[in-house]
Amino acid sequence: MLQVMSKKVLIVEDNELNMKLFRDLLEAHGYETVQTREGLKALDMAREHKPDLILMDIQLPEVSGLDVTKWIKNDDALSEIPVVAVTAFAMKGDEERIRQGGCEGYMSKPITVTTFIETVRKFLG
Amino acid sequence: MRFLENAFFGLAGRALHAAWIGLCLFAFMTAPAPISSWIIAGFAVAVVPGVIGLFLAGSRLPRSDLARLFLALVWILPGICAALAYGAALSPAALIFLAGPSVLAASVNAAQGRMAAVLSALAFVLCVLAGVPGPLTTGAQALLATPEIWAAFAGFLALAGLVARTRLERRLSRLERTVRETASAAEAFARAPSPLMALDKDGTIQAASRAIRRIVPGAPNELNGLPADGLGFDEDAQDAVRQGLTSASEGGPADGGCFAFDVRDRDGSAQTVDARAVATPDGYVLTLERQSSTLVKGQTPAVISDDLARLEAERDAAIAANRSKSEFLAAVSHELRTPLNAIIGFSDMMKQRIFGPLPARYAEYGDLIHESGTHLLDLIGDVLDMSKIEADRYELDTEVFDARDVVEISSKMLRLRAEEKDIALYTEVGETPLMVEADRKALRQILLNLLSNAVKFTPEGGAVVAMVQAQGDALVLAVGDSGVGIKAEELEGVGKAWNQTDSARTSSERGSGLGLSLVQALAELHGGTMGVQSTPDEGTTVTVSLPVMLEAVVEPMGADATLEVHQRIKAAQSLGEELQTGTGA
Repeated sequence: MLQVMSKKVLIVEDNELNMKLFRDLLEAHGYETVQTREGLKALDMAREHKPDLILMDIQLPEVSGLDVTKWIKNDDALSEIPVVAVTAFAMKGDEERIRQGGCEGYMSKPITVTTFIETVRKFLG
Repeated sequence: MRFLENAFFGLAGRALHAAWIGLCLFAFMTAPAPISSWIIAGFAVAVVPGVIGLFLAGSRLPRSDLARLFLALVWILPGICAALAYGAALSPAALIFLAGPSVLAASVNAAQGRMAAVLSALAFVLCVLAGVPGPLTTGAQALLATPEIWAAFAGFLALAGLVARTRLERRLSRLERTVRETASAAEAFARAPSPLMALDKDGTIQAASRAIRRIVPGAPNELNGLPADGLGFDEDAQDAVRQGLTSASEGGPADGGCFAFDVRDRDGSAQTVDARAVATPDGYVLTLERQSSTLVKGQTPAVISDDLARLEAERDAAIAANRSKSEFLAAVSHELRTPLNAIIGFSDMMKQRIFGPLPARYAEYGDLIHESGTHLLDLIGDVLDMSKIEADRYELDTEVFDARDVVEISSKMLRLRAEEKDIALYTEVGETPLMVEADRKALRQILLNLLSNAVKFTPEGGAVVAMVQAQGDALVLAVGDSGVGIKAEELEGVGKAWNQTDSARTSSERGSGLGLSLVQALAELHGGTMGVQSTPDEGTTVTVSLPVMLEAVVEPMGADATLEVHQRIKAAQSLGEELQTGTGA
């Protein structure tokens, strides 16, 4: 039996419940997940696990998700990994600001299951 | 009569001068043979002003006084020539001297009219002096004897006179109006409840309100013509008034012209008077007010600037409070969305049975949690939008789109909720595209709010109709329902922010009280209006009119949108009843 390597998603999210929601949703759809609650650890996790996609919360306790994204995009080994922002900043202009910050995708919280999975599939096929 | 004023320019001017040329030609053609060179010369001279007038009137030259003066002087030319040629300055030909001044009288200001008259007279005198008496040639006699020429000339003078009269009358009526206005202004000034004086540049009273006697009890009845600083004031007061006027005319700081002085009351006691002088083009306006006891003489300007500083500080604080309010709301929105993500997300997973089937009861609970979460999210959005609008921070993001799409999408979003309550939801969007330039999100919000209100407050089996049409440059959206309606005394409060009607409060349905106020605010942001028509227990129709059509649509006016919606609802209801009886039978 051929074991297909499942795609790996790194979730950077400081809220426990939201982390669980994204993890359960992704795993239910056959994705493997790695998680961190701290933006500062996200870079190390990305280097270590080489995920296929990063879901990035923007408002993190110590460092902004946008800064973390910038580090990732400046790292030659990681810059190819798509970053999708998942944020409760849903005010006018937020999406534009976040996309300019280097994120390839944007989802506003609260998410709906359908759009969440569609967005993830768009990047992971 | 305005066209007469322009009789010498524009179309009328062209026609007039062309007619003159035509007349000259006619006279020339009908002149008896033989045609002498005098006749040709006479014709040439006569025709010149016509040609020049035709050119000036027809060209796009500014209708400047200079152009008019030039034309008038040209009109003097035939007179001079005729007089010189025929040596008959005292003959009827001299009448032509009147042409120039009459043209000017009709169209130019008085000074230039006078100048033309003087030039004309001068030319006349010169002609008389230089006059070479001699017999007129037969041709010239014949030309002068042509009745058409004189008839035309008389008509010309009559027209000029008429125009001059019109101008004079208009001027007279303007003057009359000015006099009337001045009289009523003077009367108002005299009756003004505050002690007021209008002074000329020397400080002489031109007008005073009767209230001035409150301040200066011994003042004579007729104040006009008296010096303001001499109203029975002592020397200090006179100095103060003079200095105050000087400081007002120098226009210094905002409190320039503020001063205070003492006057003697009837009982001889000193009363401090606050005065403020403002410079006007012709002099000053001086206001006097008895000083309140807390103020000290000579300190008024400082007190006023203190007040100003305090008011400014208060205003800044209010602005800051408003800003921090919207920042607070943005933070609240963020904080609320984070747990809502879990609520809506997990219940959505239950709804979609991602991990397999659920017992029916739990499935229902999951749906309810999801629905409530979504509702809460809508409310947060409304509250936030309303706050932004109130803080003037809502920016419209306009684009061009077909308004019908928004109506279709919005009603599709509400269709499920309507079906659950067995409410018939109809949309009427017409067949022609309704291209508008507006904020698509705002328009959708307007429709969603109206539709969800309508569905919410319509009992089971009712009907909701959404219509959209163009009326001139306005896009008219109307949403009507057969719901509970709004009481007349509550209609007034509808649209005011944070206001919820009693019926909405007592209803089992939830509402933030923001739905309609948000609709109204969004409509007003687009420069539009919202109207509500409601009859309790019959239904409500809300009409929103937005001046956003890309191209004004001129259609045979359909019936009033509200009325039309009403009729549709009636029709929809009776159809629904029929269907029900149908199925029941």
